[in-house]
Amino acid sequence: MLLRNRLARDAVKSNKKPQTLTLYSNTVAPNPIRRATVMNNSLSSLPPETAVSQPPNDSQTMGSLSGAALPGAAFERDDFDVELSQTSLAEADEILKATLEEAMNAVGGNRAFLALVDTVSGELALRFTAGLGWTDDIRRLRVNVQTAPNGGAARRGITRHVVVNGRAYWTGDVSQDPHYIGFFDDVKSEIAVPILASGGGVIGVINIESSEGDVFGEQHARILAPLTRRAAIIVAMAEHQLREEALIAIGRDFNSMADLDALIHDVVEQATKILRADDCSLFLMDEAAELLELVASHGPLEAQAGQHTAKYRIGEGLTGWVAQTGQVIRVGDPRTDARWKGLFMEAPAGEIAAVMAVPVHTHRLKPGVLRVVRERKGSLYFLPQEFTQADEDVLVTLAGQLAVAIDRTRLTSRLLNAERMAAWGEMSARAAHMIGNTVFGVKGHLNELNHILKGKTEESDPDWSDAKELSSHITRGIYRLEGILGEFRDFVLATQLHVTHADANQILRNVTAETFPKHSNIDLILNLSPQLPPILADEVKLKRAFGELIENSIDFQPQGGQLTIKSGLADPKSLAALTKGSFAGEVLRIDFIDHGPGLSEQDRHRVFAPFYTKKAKGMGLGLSIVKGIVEAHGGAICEIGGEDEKNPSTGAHFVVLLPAHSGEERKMRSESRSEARPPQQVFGGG
Amino acid sequence: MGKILVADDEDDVRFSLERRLRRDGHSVTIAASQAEASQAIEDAPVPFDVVLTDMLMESPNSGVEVLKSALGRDVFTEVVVLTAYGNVGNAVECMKMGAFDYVEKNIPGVDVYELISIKIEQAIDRRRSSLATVRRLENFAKVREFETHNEGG
Repeated sequence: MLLRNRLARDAVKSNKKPQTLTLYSNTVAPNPIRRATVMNNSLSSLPPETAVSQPPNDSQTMGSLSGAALPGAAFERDDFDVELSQTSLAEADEILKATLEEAMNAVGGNRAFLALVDTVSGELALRFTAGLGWTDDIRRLRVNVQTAPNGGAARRGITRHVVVNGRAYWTGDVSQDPHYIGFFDDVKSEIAVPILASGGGVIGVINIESSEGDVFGEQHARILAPLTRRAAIIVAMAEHQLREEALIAIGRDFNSMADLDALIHDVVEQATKILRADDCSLFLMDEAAELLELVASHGPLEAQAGQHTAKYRIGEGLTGWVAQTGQVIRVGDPRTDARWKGLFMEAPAGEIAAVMAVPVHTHRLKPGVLRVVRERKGSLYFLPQEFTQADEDVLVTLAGQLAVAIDRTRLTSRLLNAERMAAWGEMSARAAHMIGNTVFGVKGHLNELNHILKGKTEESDPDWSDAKELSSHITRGIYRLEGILGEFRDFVLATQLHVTHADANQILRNVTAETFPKHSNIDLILNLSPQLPPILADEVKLKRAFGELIENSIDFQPQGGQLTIKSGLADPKSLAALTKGSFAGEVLRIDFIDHGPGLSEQDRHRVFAPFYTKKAKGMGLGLSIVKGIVEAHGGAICEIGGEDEKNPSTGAHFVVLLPAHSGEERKMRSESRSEARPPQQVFGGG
Repeated sequence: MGKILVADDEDDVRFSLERRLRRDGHSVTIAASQAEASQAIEDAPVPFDVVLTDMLMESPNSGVEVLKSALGRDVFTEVVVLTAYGNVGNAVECMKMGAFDYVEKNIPGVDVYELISIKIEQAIDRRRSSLATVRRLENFAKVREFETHNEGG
């Protein structure tokens, strides 16, 4: 179930309106601060009287806003199915409220408010008020800082001015102030100090008014500085807690959601929110481990997910670079990065403020990529330019969990598939047996019928020739049915193995000795690598599979030719190209290469399908049975004829891959097998 | 021609085999199970010449059991085992234990009834020749005994 649905249900149940937490604007300290530490130590040791070491209007400290990293989106309670620790968030509220009171008292004001940035709307919202006269109507007012300053005469408010400039501001006579917009008529003096995130950006403002004129100055700004820092820490702490709880909720999803697609979709959606990004996309390696394909996305790329349109080659662009190197990328304006190619971005290049991408290490040889993108939109003042280290940590964590979930799903489905195959095989074998018996009986009836018809002539019965014709149709049908049944039974039996430890080379030697004609116009070249690890195999079935490949090759070279059979260990690189990377450990590779006509590109994909044949005899189940036998051994088979660039004249080229059997037996075997065979033996030849 | 027992648990198969073998001139008894077959072998006043039995009836080894019964009654009874196509493992076992031959029921493209008919003829021939050999040996033994007796007497 998606988080949102769960929460909606809970909200109905508890009849509680989900609390919007947008006001805890979104700055996370680079080094996460545990709540307990903040509450017990740092805060309590930060009395308001603490000496001001860095005046807020010190230009070095305040700097300009240009590099300010401020978060983009904000949390909403109903984004996450978390049992939000009401108490700790309430504590945060209490501390902020107390801080505001302290601030007001410390500088001798009679009315004050603390506003925090809502980074979604780009507005400042009055979060807490102190002093008299505040009404809910006033509290609901929002200070819009989204539009760029136009420098005109219109007053836009002192609070907004502080946000834009990032410096404390005070006035002794609001009536003469170029920025002031008042809530109350009795105000004479006002001081506003920014609440700064650790990154330097403004996340809020403490604003204090006085009905007396000219009462605030620089010393008051200094007094307020530690209080704003405390407020910043509290906001960061609350933010961090929300993020952590959201991550825990996602972690719970990882354990409870069975549907991988839904899980992935949920994760990219949540990641988009947690990281305040505009898009989160997951790219995974395709089966050939050559291309990164967009699998899921939350944001503008969503429509392209699973469409096989958004792809990166390994090493191509920032995303391809992550897949190639397995390293993290965290950049601001991607246009300034040499690796950037501008493919499949979620927005026009100029609108992208930041890109972060981390590898997703699944079982595949190359990692996938989980990527978030932030657009340069919304509030100019609050949107962060780049992702932070904390953001990176979050994305890396999610990527790790995703990889585990993806691998786990793959294993589960393989297991289910194996069980299904076993049950299917057993049922099919029974069915085949019963059908076979019945067909055998019917065949007997038909024989008797034909015998009766044989004794008659046209003269004795006018329907004689009709009956004879019908009977021959039925006979043909029955014989065909029996043929299909036989092949079908072979197909079913192919997957029912009785495995023992076996030596693939020995099987190849035996099968060539048994199958390959003593006198043939086809050269047989056996090129067997010595010291191969053993395999777990049903020797009879495997011999049958190899025999089928050999017979095929002989059938397709009636004028003579050559068949090369090679064995060896598969090198991981070619393995990845040949298969879906589903092998773990050593893999034996056996090649059957002939000089026959080979297979067309089209046939190559059909050749293993049941009932496909180019030969006159047989039902065409041959290679599908070979495939069934090889796959039942946990292996794979493919045809790569014509792909060998060194030898383009080659005909069919079948590659059989079988997992090596590791373990103690293997050690013993390789020790006992001391004689090394010559690598190449040539038989036959005409 | 011959005295044959057909043991198979499929009605259709029994029906067809019985009809075919009668047509070939044999005297046919049928049994619908391993138990019936063993009983028939035991009850027959004269041992069967050939027993044609399905391999898989009550158990996957029913054919073996019928073979044991037949050879237990008359060591020269010939046994032909019917087996499912491609499943000849225990049929080969039967061969080792003295069965005449086995026939796969669903060999694609083959008229197995014709094959069975031929095998039965061959089995009857072998039984005849076996019995003839035994008779000759017996006669030989009698002659030897007579001669020995005469020499001694």
